[in-house]
Amino acid sequence: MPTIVSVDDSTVPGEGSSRLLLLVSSDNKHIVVEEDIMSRSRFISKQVEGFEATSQRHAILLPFSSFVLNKVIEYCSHYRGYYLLEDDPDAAPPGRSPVREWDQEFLDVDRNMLLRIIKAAHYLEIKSLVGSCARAIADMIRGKTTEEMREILGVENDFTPEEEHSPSSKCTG
Amino acid sequence: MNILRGNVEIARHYWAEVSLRRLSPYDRAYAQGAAGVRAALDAEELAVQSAIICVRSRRNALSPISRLPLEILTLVFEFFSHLRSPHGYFSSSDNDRSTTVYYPLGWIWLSHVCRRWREAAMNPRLWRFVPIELGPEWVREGLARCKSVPIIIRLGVLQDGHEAELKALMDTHLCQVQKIDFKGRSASLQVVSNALASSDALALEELSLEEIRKKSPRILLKPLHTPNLRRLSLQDVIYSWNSFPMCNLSHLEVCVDLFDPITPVIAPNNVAIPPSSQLPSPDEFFHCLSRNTSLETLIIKGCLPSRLSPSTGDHVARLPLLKKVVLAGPTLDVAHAVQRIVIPSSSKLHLTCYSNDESGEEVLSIIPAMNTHLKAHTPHPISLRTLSMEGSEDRKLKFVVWDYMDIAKDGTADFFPFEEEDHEVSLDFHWHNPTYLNPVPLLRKICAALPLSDIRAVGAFLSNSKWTAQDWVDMFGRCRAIEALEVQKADRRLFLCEALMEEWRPNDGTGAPVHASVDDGTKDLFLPALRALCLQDVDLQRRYPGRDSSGSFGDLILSCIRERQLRGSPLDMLSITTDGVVEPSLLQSFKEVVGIVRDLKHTLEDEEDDDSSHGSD
Repeated sequence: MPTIVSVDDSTVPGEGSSRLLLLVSSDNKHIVVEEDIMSRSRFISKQVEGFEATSQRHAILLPFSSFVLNKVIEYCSHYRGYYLLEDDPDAAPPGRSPVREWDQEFLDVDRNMLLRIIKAAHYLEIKSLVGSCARAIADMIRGKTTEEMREILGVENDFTPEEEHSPSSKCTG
Repeated sequence: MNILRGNVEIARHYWAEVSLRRLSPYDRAYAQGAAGVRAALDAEELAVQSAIICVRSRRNALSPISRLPLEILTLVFEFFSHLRSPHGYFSSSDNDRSTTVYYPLGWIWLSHVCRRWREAAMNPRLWRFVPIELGPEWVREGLARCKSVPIIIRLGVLQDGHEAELKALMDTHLCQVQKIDFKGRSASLQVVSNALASSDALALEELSLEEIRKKSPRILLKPLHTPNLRRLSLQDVIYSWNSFPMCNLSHLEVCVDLFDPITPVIAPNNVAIPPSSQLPSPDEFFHCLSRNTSLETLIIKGCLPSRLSPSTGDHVARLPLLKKVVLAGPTLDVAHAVQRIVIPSSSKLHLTCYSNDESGEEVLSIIPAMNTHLKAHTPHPISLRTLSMEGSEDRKLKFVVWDYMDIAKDGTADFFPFEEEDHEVSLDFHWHNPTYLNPVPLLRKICAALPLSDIRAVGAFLSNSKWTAQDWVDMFGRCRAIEALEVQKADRRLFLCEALMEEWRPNDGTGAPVHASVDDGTKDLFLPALRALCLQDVDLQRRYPGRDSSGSFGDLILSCIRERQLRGSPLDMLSITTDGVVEPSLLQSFKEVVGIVRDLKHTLEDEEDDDSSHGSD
């Protein structure tokens, strides 16, 4: 559960039709964003519903940096008002369709940043962004041997010899 | 206590002390036999390796990828599984690698990276694609791992030849199969057909079968027991329309290779079915469609009922949910079919007609239905659309109406959408006659018959066609709203310059301009609303000795554009593709009179290169 702190109205402007949200990143940066932009996030939507029930205004504390948060806001702003099939709760499992061109450019970031974005998108429950990041990671390891994958992603072979060579594990590759 | 402080020394001492204490007793045990000691030390080594594994696992847990939730890692693998399905062929790797890598197991290799990845790879969802192509051991393992998740059988051309595994799988797990996507030889298809005929495939929602050996006799698919089937796609597989049981399909696609003379079809009783019997009768076909009122996609190629076959009446199929209709066959059969299917006005309509008739009379039989569809088309009326025409020397003509793009505004001209999905309405014509066909006379007839007066953009890709000013007037003379135009080899069609630049002279008294060429009929050439012009494959240096106005085609175009600018009809965008040289001065002049100049980039780069080389000198 996120930590929610009460804020006074002067902190969060924008009463009325164009409501604003105050998002607080892990590095304590306060970012004001239109609620409409963040409506793609199911997590934020649920928080906002909670605010309406208590008729209190809150800031939403998020467990990732402002740099990552700003990237997510950029994504949500770009697709503001667009229907993306992947965000549909009933959408089919991922298929072979390629990453959208804009997403490709948007996700042309270093490996660690990509992993931070997907984690943030997962936390915020933005299915389309999670999907695009997952495709980008899949693309990143495409054509690599297991050794190369380990090297790229900073993991080591931690199988026991039995796990690696026993007949029962043969069918894992 | 801070565990990290001085850790290196502490760890070294600790493990040295532990290993000494643990292993030194073996020093005194040689008397009991070297073999026994060796075995004991092997066990010690294994235990130490396990400890090392524990250290590695902890270190792996710190890597950013390992800190992703397991479900996200599984999702990454799911995408990867579409990129690298298990197979047995060499696959060239991508982009940054020139070497070729062998991927016999495809995505399953991911389970070799580390324990956590293996854990993610064990998700049943990933195993729903049963790896038939890897052999029976893998099929058993895959089925065990996918548990009760509905399974998908997907076999491509290169994985053909697994009839035994396929049969075993179909016999035992048919009730769990959700989707079959199969390209293979008739022997493999026969296995699927037999299995589907022998028991109910209750979970089957999608069935796609394609025979890849077109020379062998086509198989006749047996009647299906698939109550939940929603999508059926048959490529070069014949199904008896007479026993067509499906009634709730949303997607129906039946295609037979149009260029292949109908090959014999062998029925299950080994009796050859004559070609004429392979086509449905009008009654069978339209009654079948009527039973599938949920159809959203209908694609029938090469097996439309013949209009000449006996029919009990003019049964009409009403399909209110259709979003896409593709019909291909002899021209008159297509015309007949499109008249007997009530297609919603919002549906995309793609018709491909084959004919020997070069007069165009057969083709015109399509036009009434097209006309009705275009006039009623929603959500946009025809006035917001682009018309593209493509004619080639290989006896094909393509005629596409699609969503209008704001070409003039941003210069992103794309007059011929590559993806069929983007086409709203298309008409393809193919002539069997091997003689060269000039499509222009036919286009004149089609354009005249369609409601094109408010069309906004036209792309004409008629590279080798001979067309005159009168052809143009007949085709587009009434289209005064054209804002964007793309023409191939415009340097050979000088009348287009007249379409760009009409002479004006002030009207006496009223001040309103009048056309100078009112009397000779060429006034209809002028494109008053034009804002974007794309000229493809032109030679800007082409000269016309017989003309009064000296200069090249490039000069002519420039003067046309200047003239328009003076008359208050400037161009916003000019795009030119040419293999020839573009004079820098001409390019500069274009830039002075047009907001956006595209596709001359190579010339600009050349210029820059030249500049830099001069600089270095």
